[in-house]
Amino acid sequence: MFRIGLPQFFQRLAFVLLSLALLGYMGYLLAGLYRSRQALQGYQQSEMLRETTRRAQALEYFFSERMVDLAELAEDRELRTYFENRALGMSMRYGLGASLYACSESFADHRQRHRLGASQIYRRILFVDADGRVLVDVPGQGQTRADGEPRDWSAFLGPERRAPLLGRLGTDLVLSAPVIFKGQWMGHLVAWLSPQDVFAHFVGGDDPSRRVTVLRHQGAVIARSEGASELGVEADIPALAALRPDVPVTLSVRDAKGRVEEMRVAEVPVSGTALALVTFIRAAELKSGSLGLLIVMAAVVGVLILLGGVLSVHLQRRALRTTEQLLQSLPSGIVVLGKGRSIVLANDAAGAILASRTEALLGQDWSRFLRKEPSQVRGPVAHEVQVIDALGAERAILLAAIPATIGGEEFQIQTFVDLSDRKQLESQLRHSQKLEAVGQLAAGIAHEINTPTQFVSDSLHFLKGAFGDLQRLLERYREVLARTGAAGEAEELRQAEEEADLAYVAENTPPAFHRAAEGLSRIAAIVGAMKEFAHPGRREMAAADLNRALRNTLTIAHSEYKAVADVETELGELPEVVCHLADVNQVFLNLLVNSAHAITDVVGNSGARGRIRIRTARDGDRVRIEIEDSGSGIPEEIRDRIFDPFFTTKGVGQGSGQGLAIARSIVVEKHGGALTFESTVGKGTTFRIMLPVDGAPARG
Amino acid sequence: MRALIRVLASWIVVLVAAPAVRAADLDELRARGVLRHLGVPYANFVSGAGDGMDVELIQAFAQSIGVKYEFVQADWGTVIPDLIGRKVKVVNGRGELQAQVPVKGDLIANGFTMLPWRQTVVEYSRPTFPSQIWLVARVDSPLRPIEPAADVQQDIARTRALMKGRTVLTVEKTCLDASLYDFGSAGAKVVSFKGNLNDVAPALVKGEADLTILDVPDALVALEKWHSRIKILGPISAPQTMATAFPKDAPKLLKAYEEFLAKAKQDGTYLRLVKKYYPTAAGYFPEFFEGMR
Repeated sequence: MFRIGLPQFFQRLAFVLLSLALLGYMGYLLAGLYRSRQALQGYQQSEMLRETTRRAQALEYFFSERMVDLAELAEDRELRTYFENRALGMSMRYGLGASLYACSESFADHRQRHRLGASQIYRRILFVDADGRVLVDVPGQGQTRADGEPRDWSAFLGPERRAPLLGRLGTDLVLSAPVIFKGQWMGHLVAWLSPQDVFAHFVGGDDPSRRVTVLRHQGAVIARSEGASELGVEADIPALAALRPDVPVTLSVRDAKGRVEEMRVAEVPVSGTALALVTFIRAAELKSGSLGLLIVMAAVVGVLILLGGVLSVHLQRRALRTTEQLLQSLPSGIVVLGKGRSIVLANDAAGAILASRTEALLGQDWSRFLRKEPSQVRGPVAHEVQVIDALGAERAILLAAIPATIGGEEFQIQTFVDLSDRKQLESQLRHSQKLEAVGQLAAGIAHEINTPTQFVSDSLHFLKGAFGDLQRLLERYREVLARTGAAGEAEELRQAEEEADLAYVAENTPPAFHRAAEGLSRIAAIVGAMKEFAHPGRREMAAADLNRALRNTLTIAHSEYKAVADVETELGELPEVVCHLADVNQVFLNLLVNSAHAITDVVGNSGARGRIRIRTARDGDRVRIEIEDSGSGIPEEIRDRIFDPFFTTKGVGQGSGQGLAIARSIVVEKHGGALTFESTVGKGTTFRIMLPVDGAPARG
Repeated sequence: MRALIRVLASWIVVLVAAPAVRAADLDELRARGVLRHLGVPYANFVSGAGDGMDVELIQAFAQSIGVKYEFVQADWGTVIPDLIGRKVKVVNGRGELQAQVPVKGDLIANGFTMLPWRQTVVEYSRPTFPSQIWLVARVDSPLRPIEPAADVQQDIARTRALMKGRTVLTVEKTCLDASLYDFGSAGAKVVSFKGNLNDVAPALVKGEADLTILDVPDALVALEKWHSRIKILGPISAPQTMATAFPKDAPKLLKAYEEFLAKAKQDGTYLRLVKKYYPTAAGYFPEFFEGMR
């Protein structure tokens, strides 16, 4: 039972306030998160635009380089040689064809030298003369000359087309550059590029799950990154017509599965070309999250925190309960003293020792229980002190005090154990020791008595025999005197006999010898019983004849009951019982003495006699000994206390209250037996002892 | 009778001396352990600097038959006698064997055109390179190249017509020998060039004659080297071929070479050499090189 710190109301109030503060802090954090996500969204949009611009610039540089190297190819020496030879009038069959073939070789070399990563930049290079005839055609590996063959080269031809041009044939990008020889337009070089290869080199590497980029030429998608199909950016999207360069917008795009998804889209033109890069990012990737969602999140987090708090409190309480249960399970009394030495915590053992309900102890001043404030109890070393329990009884406890600081508050833990049991045991021990000493002394005395008794007995037998001899001798003297006949002497002898009262002596001396012999016999029996009863020198169990032990005890206790009771024994056949015989004799003696006293209570000095009946029998693996008396019986109200130590109904100085307690201790605790009784007030009491034959503790 | 004795004596001399001048066939060549490559520095076939398309080709052949390679430089006037051990005189388009000379080589390979008279004294392998004799002029020549007709003979006729009254550089005993093309009837003035065939084009550029003739491989090289300085006017001959020449009494060697050549054409060795030394030839004569790897 605890009572520490704030009252429960304040604890709950503190918990609610703490929870509200926590929720407020969560709200503050979420608001910060919302703002930072908004900022992040802005940054991501800027980053998307920057990244797209950077890629567009890379493409711009790439295509400008291609235009430069195509212009350089237009100035190719072999091409110029061809033009010169043609101007000289050489025919294709005789020489000019070789020049043209040299051009092919030069173009092939050009194509071979210009690479983009592992692949060649140009898929095909050709020279179309002013008449639209393809004179040189260098296709890439695996590409036939018919691939992408235009029907009409006019898009690439014309003397007015003096600047390199980036156009499109189907899905291919086509660069064209005019060939000018001696100021005259001779035709155009046309080079094919794979937009997908170029795109993959400069734009590839997007995470397709969040970003897709496409390359458009005059509005038509000609290359796209991985994942475009899934995002529905496979074909041209009409909505892209609304795009403005360098301005991100949000568009609804229908993906491959028909789902409409919002996407953030930014288009950046590739300067110097009709190309544009368009980047798509799922709007969900950039969204900062709605306020409502954040509130829901905050609520969820708050609930989770509260649940966590409740759970924490629950766990704390559980831990507290566990601690309390542990404290309660301790056999020692524990009280924790707060300020003013008032009790703030006490366990049930403390309540039991102090004879109070545990709850009633809380808040009480600890000092009131102490008979005298023990000045020396200031540490963990225990001291015996006297306390007065709630019922006003005084008892000894062993008390230790341990100071403790919990949460900055100072407490003092008082632990104590009740010394009553210990005192009782000590008393029993002392009693047992006393009995043992008395027993030993009695055995010694019996031994000392035994020796003179022996020679007294021998002398008595001698005297008895000698007296008989003297009597027979006297008879002989009389017979001789009567026969010899001196009357005077006979009379003198008769008078001497009368004076000695010889007839009386002769008549009463033999009975006196008999009584003396009987007395000595009884002395010998008592001495023998005392020696066996005390049974000194045996500390371990040993087999014993309990009927014989009972007879000895009856002899010892004879003086206790001979005046008030007659003893009847019905001793059945018993096996030898493994036991501490001295202790068992003690039990028999205590019960016999109790029976005698109970009968005395009834008969008093009336001269009437009671009856003590002793029965023994075997009962399975146990023996049963019953001692029945015809005493006053045990009143109902004290029957449950008769085995309590120091409980007695006898007057001061007549009983220690230990007899039955010791008997029960010996039978039950020492031998594993049972000691019960049946009693009827006014008729008597029967005590029943059950002892295991083999000395093992009884089961059940 | 004297005449008869002289004839008999000469026959006896020939018969007795024959073993001494007989060219070596494959067995003897293997026993000797050396293949002697007769070559005249010409175009990119034999550069004269230790390499050339035919030099590399014959080196590979020597390796294929397990003998060492040795280059024996010759000139156009002695290259055939050096092969067959007899001087040769061309009479009525045929070669007549003359006096014996030492045999210096086992085969001729230097862009050796397959001419009819040569075929009477040597044995050719299958053609190794296409050719034709073209008429070449300086760029400043007033002569205009012909317009090709459907028939090469018409082209030749038109080209020959351009030669009238012009000086033409030729090289005797070569494929550029004037006697092979009857320049006299064309009204050309033949100027015999005494230098190396590789120097004919430069001589033209220098103005040693109005015109010259070059075979196609040489013309392609010249167009490369002297572009904008010379021009091709038209053909002087029908298309020709070049091949490697062997003595007529070395059939086993010829057979071994044919096998080697077929293999080289199949495994890409041959076309690799063509593209190395005549980059435009394969494209210019696609029919000839068709089928080669």
